[in-house]
Amino acid sequence: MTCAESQNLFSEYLEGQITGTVQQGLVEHLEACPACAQKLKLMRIMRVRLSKLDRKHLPDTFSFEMRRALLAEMNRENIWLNRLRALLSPRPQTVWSAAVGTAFAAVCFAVLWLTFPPGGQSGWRSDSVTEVDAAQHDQSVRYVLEHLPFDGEPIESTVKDTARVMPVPPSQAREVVQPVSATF
Amino acid sequence: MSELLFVEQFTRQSEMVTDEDLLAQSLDGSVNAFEVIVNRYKDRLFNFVVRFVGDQETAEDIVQETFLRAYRNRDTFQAVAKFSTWIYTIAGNLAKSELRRRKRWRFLSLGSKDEHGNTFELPDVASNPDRDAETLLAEAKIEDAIARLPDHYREAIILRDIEGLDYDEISTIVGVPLGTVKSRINRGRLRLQEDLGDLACALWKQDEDETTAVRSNP
Ligand SMILES: [Zn+2]
Repeated sequence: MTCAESQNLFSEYLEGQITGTVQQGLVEHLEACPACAQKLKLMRIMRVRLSKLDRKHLPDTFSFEMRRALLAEMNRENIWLNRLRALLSPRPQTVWSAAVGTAFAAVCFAVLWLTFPPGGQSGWRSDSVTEVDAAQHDQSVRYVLEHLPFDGEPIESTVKDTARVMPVPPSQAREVVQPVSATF
Repeated sequence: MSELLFVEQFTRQSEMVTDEDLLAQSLDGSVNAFEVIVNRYKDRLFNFVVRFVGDQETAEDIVQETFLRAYRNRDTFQAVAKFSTWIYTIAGNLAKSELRRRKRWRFLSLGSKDEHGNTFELPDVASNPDRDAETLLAEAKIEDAIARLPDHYREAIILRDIEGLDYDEISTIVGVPLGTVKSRINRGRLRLQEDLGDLACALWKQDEDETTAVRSNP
């Protein structure tokens, strides 16, 4: 057995983990090699010394800090746990709020769907808007024309007049508004 | 009665309760049961971590983080391993991450600090009245030699020779095969002896004298 081989076995030998021929070989080497024998003695002493090293101590504040950290952790955990519990076994109040919320979301979705449908055209009837617009224009034109300043001469309603009060091209306006003859 | 006193009393009452049972109790959200575990392991973990990372403040943080992680993952703990092995593994991994982080930082700051520099502090005799100055100085030198060991030797030596864990536990904690653990412990011890040189011989002589004195005055 070489010195290196014997030294590889020191720890196992000291802890009684080698037996038989291996142990015999090591003992024979130690008897013949004072350097290895001394190293082994030193290792034995070193082990005892290491086991007796002064114990280090945590400061007294550690327990307080630890408790605070654990309570904070527990609170954080409880928040998630309560959310999970509420989901799994909901109270009537929770069910109502969930139902109202869902209904509201559905209405919002429907309105958005009709206003901006996927096809691109509005879901609302477009002609109804035009009709209302035309009727309003019609009314305002009548009002303006009826209240034009009267300086004694009859006013012949012209295409030009209509164009002045209606911000639409006369060709279109004529379809909607019948020129009013201002003969008073 | 303050909360901590309650925990102390709870600890005394729970001396016979196993770590695994306490962990199961803490699953119901009982911080008190978990604090008993904290009281059982805080000093042992601190002794391991402070020698492994080499500074008190970081070691305190690592020990606290170890317990918090154990608490957070207490429902995933499998009773296949011992609880002590599990908690040491968490602490060891956190300590190793810290050492890696420091190495990267040292590498970035162009190795401003020599890893094998002599850093031991002179012992404070006044705060250790039960240990004589010579013993304290010897201990300080041994601590320093431990600090100079390569990380993987240091970890194995602390767990085996200072904390007294068995080889199988160390193998699980460190995450290497049993043979590797044995070899690291043996090499670590030999390195320590070489590093201590004359001091090791002096300790040997001192121990021989003590043995002779005991034999002649039984
Ligand atoms: Zn030899």
